Amino acid sequence: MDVVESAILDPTVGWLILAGFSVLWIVLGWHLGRGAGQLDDYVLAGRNVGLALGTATVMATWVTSNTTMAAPQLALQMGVWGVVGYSLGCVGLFMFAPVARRIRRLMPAGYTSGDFIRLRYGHLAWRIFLAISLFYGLGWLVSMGMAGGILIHALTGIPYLHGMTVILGICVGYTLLGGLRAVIGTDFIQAFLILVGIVIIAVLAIQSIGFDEIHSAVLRERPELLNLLMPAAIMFLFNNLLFGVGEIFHSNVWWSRAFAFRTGVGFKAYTLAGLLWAPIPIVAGFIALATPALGLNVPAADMVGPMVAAEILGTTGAVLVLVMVFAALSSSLDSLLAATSILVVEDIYRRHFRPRATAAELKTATAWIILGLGVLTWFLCAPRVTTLAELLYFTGAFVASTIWPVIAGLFWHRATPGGAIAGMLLGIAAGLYGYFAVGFYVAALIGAAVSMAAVLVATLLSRSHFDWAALREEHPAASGGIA
Amino acid sequence: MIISASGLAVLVSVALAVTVAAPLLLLALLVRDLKRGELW
Repeated sequence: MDVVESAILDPTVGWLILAGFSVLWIVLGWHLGRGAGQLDDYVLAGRNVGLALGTATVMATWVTSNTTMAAPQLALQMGVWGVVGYSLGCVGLFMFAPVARRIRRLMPAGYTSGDFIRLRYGHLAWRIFLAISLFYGLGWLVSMGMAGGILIHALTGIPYLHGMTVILGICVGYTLLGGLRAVIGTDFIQAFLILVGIVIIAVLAIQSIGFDEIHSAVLRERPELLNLLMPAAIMFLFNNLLFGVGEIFHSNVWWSRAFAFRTGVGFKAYTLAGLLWAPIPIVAGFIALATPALGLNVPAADMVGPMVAAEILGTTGAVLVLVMVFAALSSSLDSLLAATSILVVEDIYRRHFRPRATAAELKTATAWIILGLGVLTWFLCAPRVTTLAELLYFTGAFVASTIWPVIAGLFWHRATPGGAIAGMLLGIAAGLYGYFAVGFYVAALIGAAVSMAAVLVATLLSRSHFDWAALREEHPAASGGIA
Repeated sequence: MIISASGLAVLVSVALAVTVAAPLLLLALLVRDLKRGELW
């Protein structure tokens, strides 16, 4: 079945919706960014974000294209455990809650996750960490840019390249205008749209088909999806848990929020966001289990979610899905653009090339990097070379190998640079071996296990005693100029 | 070991209930932060 033939919305309607939301985000981004005069306002929203905006931005950012598109895809590959496993991505948010509190306490003037690794473990570990972080950040950006193009094409027939260009362009536009303030402000509205949209779709799906019909159709045609002892699915469940933890622990998307939240907010915001996020993949994935009951022929696995929703709910449903996923993609793309840009500016531009850059120079550089990241992502998305899940899970081995170096470095005096470096490198090597020898669903699991062993052994053998005060580095541009 | 229809219904219903409560909770927190002057 041709995707364009299956598109429910007329391309003109699709363009109108995209135009409406594009204007809304750009105006909001400009409005919210008006007060972002200083570097800290632009890249860290003034370091004073409250609980409501904090919770919403964490939740909305973690609801990505992967939640709305890969969760339904995984429901059809791994069944019930695939969906539950996906929802265990919330464990990463729960575990990061105390970490966020610790980060704010130890590094009140910090900017990036790279700052921590550099100050805690030295330059070699920092550069390895930066490579992992940038590789993952770019992979995430590309997976969402591609998801935007795929989804818009599946729902409206608008060519992939056009849809992808619009969603990427809009996110670059308002992030550029308002920095992290614009990102967090729009995230609140996007969180609302995502939650309301998913509730409406799920309720209507249950009303129109019913649990019993969905269950019996899956049991008849794909009984393995209801099997609670499906070995690959159980491995996937644990793998996804660790993948989520790794993604959150290393990524500057989450560190920058820890720096941006008002004192005392980080722990509560991450915990609450985890609670609110956990059910979303279950609800989104459940919709895909309606495929056998509907007799749908899905042309590509990563299109199953929007296609099922459009089939059940018709034009209104298609509009709803488009709005909801546009919000989900925007809320993650903008966060990544903002967080990756400050990582590049602070850890590469300033630390390697312009150590005496003024705050104004760093702010300008951040804006240019946001623009550059957008252009680079566009070029990488344009060929549409792989499916979403494949692209995403390839990074599992890399991010999972950073969990233990981060935890040990934040909480244990005795954690050493050697242990962190060994943990990251051995974890990546073992995880990649698992990825190619067994499958994507074990890469993070193996990577995290090997990394943990390396870090624990090195820490237990160590006699070093790290002075936490070394993390309280003053930023020369924090007050608006250089020291 | 196959999950039953009622088991599936319970799983999805609980998830749906939390998802319904989420926007209400976020709104309540927003109002509270606004009143306290702690939005940003």
